Amino acid sequence: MTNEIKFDDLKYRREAEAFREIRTRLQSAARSVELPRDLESRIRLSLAEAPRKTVWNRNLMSIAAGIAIVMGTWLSWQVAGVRAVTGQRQNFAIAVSQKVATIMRVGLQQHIHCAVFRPLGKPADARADMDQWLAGYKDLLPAVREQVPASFELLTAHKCKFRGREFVHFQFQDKGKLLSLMIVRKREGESFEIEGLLPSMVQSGLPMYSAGVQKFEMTGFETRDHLAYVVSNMPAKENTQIAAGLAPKVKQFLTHMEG
Amino acid sequence: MDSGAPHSIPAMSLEARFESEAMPHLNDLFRTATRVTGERGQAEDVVQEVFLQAWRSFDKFEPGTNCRAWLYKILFHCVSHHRRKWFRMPTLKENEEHLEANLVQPESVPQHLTDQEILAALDGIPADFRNVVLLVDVDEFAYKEVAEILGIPIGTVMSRLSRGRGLLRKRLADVAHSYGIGKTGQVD
Repeated sequence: MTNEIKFDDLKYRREAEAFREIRTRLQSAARSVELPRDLESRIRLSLAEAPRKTVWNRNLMSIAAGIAIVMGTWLSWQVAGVRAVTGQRQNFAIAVSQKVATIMRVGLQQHIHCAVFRPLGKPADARADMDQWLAGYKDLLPAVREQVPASFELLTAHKCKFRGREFVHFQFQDKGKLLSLMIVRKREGESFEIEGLLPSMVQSGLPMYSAGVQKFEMTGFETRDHLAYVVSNMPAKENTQIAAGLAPKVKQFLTHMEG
Repeated sequence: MDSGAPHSIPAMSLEARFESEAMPHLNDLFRTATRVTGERGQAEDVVQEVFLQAWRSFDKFEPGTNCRAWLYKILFHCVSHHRRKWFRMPTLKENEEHLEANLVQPESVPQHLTDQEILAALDGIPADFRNVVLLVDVDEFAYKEVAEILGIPIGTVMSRLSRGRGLLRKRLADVAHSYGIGKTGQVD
């Protein structure tokens, strides 16, 4: 900025000149302060939970007058905007998940993409539509609901695609806590065991694998054809406890499905 | 869209604007908040609240105007709101006479000082002066923008900047003297 030349005041100009060196050091020192690693994700989470005031009637008449032109421009802009945001989200999810094992990233990235970021937009599926969205998995919902603490509200349960894979995704929320259970079909060679991870615990004969990065804690387990993940922003112990409660029921359901 | 579920296009449009116009300023806001509040934990809370308030009223923000200045205005509003809860910060009125009497002539900054020492010197300035120095010298806002952000006349911005800079120089000189650099009242 050019504050110094905006005022014909010799005093201030001389002072600014004399202060230039300090200013440079000051800028360097102030900018050395690092952003807390999880602040951005916490902000995004709080934004996702926040209602926003909207004004729908603004310029209604002028929109009506030029609706054809406006709609054309608007749609073009939206498509570009949606692509840009999707790219940013994917980049964030990918960057955060780099510090966990490859097989853990599958669930973590889906949680960030769909649970952490999704609520910024309009909820994709109303609860009345859950049966439709959960086709084939709706019988699992009561068992899942039973194992997740009652204080958690079921936000959504649906199937969705991320990076070419279809997930069955149950999302729960309890105030600031956001919890996901995700199930996805294995790709060839995918396995916690094959990847060489050591189980953090064994629940009902089922090895369970845990990891954490930033505020995210995740626990995964597998059946013959599926991977399952429990991811949340809760402490590792709580996340693992919920996963341990879910695992036998989920395994039973998936094993029956796999035949 | 990679996700299988449908999205509302109008909601996404505002979100896209918020992502591109507001979120890039997170780092700057946090750094300024850290200096203004003097504590990282409080800075995190304030910055989180700033983005929450900004998101809630983003429909009032006019595209093409200065989003960064708008966010800073919210930041100082939030800090002002929280100040009473945290602690009683020194105010300008209490310190004005003392500072007036202690201003020093322009001197160069000692090269030996670390970033932490420089920041500690800045943190030691009363909030009213420190805020103006931060906004002008670190965040590089114009005087007029600072006046709008802090809600004070532009003349007050200039006088506080002058006094704030002077006090910062004096504090830096004091630190240098503690290391045996420079003579009394002077620095290298």
